[in-house]
Amino acid sequence: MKTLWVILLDSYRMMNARKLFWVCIAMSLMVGLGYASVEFDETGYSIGFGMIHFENEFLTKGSPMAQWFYVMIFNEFFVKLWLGGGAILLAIVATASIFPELTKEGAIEVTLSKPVGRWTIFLAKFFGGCLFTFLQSLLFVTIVFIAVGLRVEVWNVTLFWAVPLVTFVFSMLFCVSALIGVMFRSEIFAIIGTLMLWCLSWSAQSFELIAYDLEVVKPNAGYKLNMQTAQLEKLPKGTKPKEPKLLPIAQVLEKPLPKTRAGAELLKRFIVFPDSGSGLESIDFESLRGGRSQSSVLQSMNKELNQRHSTAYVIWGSLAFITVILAIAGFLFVRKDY
Amino acid sequence: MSSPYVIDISNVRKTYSGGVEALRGVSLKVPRGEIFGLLGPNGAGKSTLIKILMTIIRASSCQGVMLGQPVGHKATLAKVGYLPEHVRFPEYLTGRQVIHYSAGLAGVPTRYAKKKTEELLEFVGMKTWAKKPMKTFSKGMKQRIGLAQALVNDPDIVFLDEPTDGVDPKGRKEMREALRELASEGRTVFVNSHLLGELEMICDSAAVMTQGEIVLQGSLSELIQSDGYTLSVEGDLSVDLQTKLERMQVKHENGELTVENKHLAQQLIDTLRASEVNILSMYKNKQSLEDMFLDAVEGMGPGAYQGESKKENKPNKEVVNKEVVS
Ligand SMILES: Nc1ncnc2c1ncn2[C@@H]1O[C@H](COP(=O)(O)OP(=O)(O)OP(=O)(O)O)[C@@H](O)[C@H]1O
Ligand SMILES: [Mg+2]
Repeated sequence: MKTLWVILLDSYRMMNARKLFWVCIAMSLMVGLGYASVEFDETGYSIGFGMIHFENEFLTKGSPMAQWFYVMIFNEFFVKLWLGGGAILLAIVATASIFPELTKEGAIEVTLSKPVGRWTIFLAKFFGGCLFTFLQSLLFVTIVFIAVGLRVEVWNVTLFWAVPLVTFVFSMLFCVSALIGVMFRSEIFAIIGTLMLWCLSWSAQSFELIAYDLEVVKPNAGYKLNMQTAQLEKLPKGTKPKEPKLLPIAQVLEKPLPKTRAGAELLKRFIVFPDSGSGLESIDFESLRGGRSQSSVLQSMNKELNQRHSTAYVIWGSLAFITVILAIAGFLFVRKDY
Repeated sequence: MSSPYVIDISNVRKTYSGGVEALRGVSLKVPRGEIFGLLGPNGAGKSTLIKILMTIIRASSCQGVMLGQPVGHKATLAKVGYLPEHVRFPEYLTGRQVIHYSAGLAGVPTRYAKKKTEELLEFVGMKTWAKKPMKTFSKGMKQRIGLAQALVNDPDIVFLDEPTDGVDPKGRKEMREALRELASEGRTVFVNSHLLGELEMICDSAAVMTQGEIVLQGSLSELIQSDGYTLSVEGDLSVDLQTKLERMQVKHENGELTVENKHLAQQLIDTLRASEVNILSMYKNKQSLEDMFLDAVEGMGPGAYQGESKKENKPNKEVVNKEVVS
């Protein structure tokens, strides 16, 4: 226990010295406060704690529309861009130096000559990185929780699911950072390699999503996408769905990789807001921009698409990835002559 | 605790992944409570040996014990201190934090570690600098902090790999005194160094390693003893006698006659007495640690063992057989 504390303290000191610890915390704070700064009053809403005011007859204090709007911008911007992207990116950059610093020549000798097992050291360092992300997102979510409570009077504790989920997605990437850090002792390599894997897994998941959409969801619903016009066309009645061709390839690619995207999308499953009563629940930012609501067919197709993977699949699949990568990285660290 | 040796290892081998045979069957016994010096040319394998004992690298084979436990036993390291060669403590830590970190990982109770840290900072003369980060320290200052962190757990045995690297003369003297004090407390000090003069001043025993093998080990007094004798005589020697002595391979300088071993010494005495020369004194020769070292490593360049061809160049040294371990 004490060893863990000593190693965590050391990691903190390192990140603190690189200013990254506080930069990340400050960024989280700012984004959280940015969200909290949206206010509603009798005539409309304002951002920046009342700095810029917009007149709006629907988005007023206490209106169901305002509640829907406030939740919608959280889901659309803060979940997708921040929790599923920015916050994790920041955490990857901030924690990338943990393993290269640990294994630095001249410093590792002291650490290894102590009566502490190498697995303990390795896992404590890994745990430290995850703890950092946990705290960073806890801070953010707490601000959002209070903001939503104050602004639209919904005290939604399911928001806190974001903390373990974001940490989980982060750990899928951090294990890769650890592996590269242990292998090459380089922070830059760790960052680049991790981002490459993130892109790769994102692409594989997107490919699988598109393939599933085109080859399973749409034909099942009796539609096909016309590639020239990019319009949906109704298939003639009684057309049998074709055997998927791309999907098996996509699945082979997607299976072994961490489910970073699907993991972030779990946020939508876990964070549930009560119905605002505005009748706008199905409207998201895309349809808002397009100026039209989605047809019920599209909605049900989207629903099927989004639920093609069970929560268990996403979690266990990613856990398997983390376990394998951590085992390799840990094994290398434990076996290496320094 | 029954064994008089804190380190008793044999047949330690290490072949690095590149194929370098850094250690080729090292056997070593280090007596408790002594200052032990491990000498050897660059690349002989001294640091490799220490790193094996510190579990930093894995031996290809290793038999024997350290503090009564097999080498590689992690818990034993709680009673061991270590100052690595070319140590580079994290730059973001202050001097005090480095010592605390070391204490924390060694399992020293927090309150005791705090007290001990202050004592040690005083001891290595870094008290006023303790709050400054490592990156602002000179080489010698880092080395002083390094010594302090190696001692924070009150080790039974402390390994110092080139401890005086970068330390000024005053610091070296202080370090020597520090090591003596440690030894007087019953701790064993294991020093790797090239600075023979310095080792000579403090070591109780030593070993010489070249190309991954121990070629010589024993107590310092035994090591620096030579088989030779020196006789001083009264008056000048006749030309006749001088040529005779030359033939007997006796060195003659300022009225002192030197021979290489005791047999020659007897002959010399007989010859001198036959010529009625007065012998004023006779004593057994000592050599400096440096002479001993240079003798032991004669004909060997730096680096690890490079195969038989190099070994053949090595003069057949008697010194190899002069194992004087009790
Ligand atoms: N990590 C490594 N990989 C491969 N070879 C190594 C490694 N470390 C050391 N060696 C080789 O092992 C041999 C012994 O090295 P070691 O550092 O133990 O020597 P040393 O006696 O401490 O030398 P010095 O007095 O210069 O510090 C050298 O030939 C060196 O080239
Ligand atoms: Mg060395």
